[in-house]
Amino acid sequence: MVNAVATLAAIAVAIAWTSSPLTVASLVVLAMACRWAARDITGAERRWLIGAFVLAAAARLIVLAVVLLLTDPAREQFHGLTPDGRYAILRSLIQLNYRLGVEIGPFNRMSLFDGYGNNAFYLYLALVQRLFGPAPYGIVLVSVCGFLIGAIVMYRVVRADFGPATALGGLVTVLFWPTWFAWSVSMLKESVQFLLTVTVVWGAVRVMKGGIGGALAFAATGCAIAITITLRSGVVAIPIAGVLLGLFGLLAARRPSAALVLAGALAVFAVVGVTRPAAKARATEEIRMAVGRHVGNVRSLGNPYKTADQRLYSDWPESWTTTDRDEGIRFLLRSAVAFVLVPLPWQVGSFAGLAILPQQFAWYLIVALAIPGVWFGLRAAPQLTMTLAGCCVAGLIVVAPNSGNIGTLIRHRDMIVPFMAWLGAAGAARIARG
Amino acid sequence: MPLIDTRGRLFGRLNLIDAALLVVLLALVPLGVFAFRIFQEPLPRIDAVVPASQPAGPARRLRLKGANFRPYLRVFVSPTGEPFSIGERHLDPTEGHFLIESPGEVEIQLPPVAPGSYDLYVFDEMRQVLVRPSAFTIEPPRSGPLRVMVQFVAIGDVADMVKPGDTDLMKTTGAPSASGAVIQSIGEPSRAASAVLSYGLSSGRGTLAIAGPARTLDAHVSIPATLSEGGVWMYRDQPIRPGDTIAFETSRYALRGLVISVSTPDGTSDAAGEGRSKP
Repeated sequence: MVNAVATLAAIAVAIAWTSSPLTVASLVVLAMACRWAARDITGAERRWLIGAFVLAAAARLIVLAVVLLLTDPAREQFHGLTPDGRYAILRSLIQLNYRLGVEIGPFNRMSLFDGYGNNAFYLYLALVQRLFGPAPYGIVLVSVCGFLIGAIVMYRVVRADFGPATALGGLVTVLFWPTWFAWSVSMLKESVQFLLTVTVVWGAVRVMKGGIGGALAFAATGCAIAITITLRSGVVAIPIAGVLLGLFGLLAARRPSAALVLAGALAVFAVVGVTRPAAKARATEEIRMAVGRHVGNVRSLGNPYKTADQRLYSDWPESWTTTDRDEGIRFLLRSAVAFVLVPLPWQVGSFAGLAILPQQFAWYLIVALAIPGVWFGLRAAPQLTMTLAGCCVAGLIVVAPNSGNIGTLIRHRDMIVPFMAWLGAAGAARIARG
Repeated sequence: MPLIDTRGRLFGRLNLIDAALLVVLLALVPLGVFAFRIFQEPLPRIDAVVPASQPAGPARRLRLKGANFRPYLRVFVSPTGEPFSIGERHLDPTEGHFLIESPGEVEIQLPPVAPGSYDLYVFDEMRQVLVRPSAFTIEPPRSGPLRVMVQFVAIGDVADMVKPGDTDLMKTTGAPSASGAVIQSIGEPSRAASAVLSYGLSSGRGTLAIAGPARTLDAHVSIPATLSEGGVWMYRDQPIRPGDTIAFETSRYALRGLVISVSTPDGTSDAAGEGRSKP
């Protein structure tokens, strides 16, 4: 009986491997990640952890199977859940063919070397498919694995400092956050970027413990930062700001006087820098460019929101070059508020858009809970709290002034939602304890 | 003999588990064939290009007969013997429109193509899947010197300036002919006539007409014309038919005239008032 079951299992694995080696490898990786995350956890927490992880993975696998079944071979070579995700897969396959010497023709060659939207992401996807064979459906599992592994690594990091309730609460929120679910089953950069950001955060926390593990964590952090730069250079500010603030938090906890001196020095440096004419001119130029990008986004297709003075929209396209100091300050403040509040219910432009409202209300709740989360977290785990808060603040600084479209804002804001979710979970857990 | 004996063996020979395993293995064969047919993506094949040759002109079309054509395929044309390359991304002049009728038959609307032989390149979304060298030929439009009898109207003494061998220098935008019409022979200028010359005013409002003495002059003119889509002989965007007017200019004079008769290179001729005649 055992032999027969083993034989059938071997046949099933052989069929699966023949059909999609990348799927088999991804499932093995997910199983190992789950096993690693639950290695020393017992009881109800273990059941919740494994249950949530398996449910999150199974739901995503079902969506991928549906995407496969929705393919109409008479109309398209392969199907993708989102246009951008499908384009990423297509471009990676063109890249793969090019590297393998398969003729792709001048049209594809031109698009391959087109600077617009070009980054190393497609090259990495091509590399994966070089190892496992072309996989227009299986490659999306890279996104699934990136997100799930990132979430579970972050769970372990948070659990060590904030405890099981906060870690598990944040994990469940992140795993089933609707828009993150959509990004993780599309071949978008978001999931891989999330894993890289988490790697940097994990590395910064782990490196303080020293030893060989610390050295490896330091190396992993460096690699993750380097790879993030090749994906979206601006986004690397999020983990770096988080790590620097986290280290400052650690310093403040261990050497308060040294931290005070450092903070004072930085404040003096900032004041002197801001008052210098060259720095003022540079800041003005940056704000004007941000206004230009914002107004450009508002004027493009989609569902926009406005944060600048009306003059800057009416006098487009020259207006942004004449943005003065007061207009710039008002624009930055309104953008920061909009980063948290948009979309307000009356800003949703379509009936289908109403589907985002439950998530939006959940987002407001998380932000509200994150405030006590930071307050209590600074006492319990200053480095991790400052790291998470640093990631959120950096995300706000990078995303808020450069957005003008609600859909794009939600997608970019999701880069910090996981970190905010764990801070919110910390606040909720502390309030629940009373 | 019972189907399953007391030891759980099928027909007393085969263990039930082993038998189930055997059934699974046997079922895998048709399953494998089915899966292969479903997931295998056969490359398109061209058996015939129809027509293999056609005259130049706007909106040329081809039909491809073959197998495994799909709607998302893209087709490009490139002159035979030249490397396949494109100049612009969005307005590419080498791409044809791929209009699929069935997996075995496709119509292609060709981009504007000059006379010559062309290769066909077929792409799916991410690679080149088919090349057919010298797939079709675009023939140059039928052309040849027409022998045309023209009755020119010459103002004043212009008739005296016209000599056999004079070549038309008139330039017309997009003129298909490289060389101009040549006067081969002229008759005697006719009795005095009058001509009315009409000029458009620079303001664009109305014309100025001047009446003056003139003479008619019959001439045989050799005209390098091309046969258009509609079967009309054209010379520098002007139709050359009996009854049409024709302009003729040299560095010394300018003439306007009326086409009286036309003899084509293959010997047929048309003449004003005679209808179509056989050679």
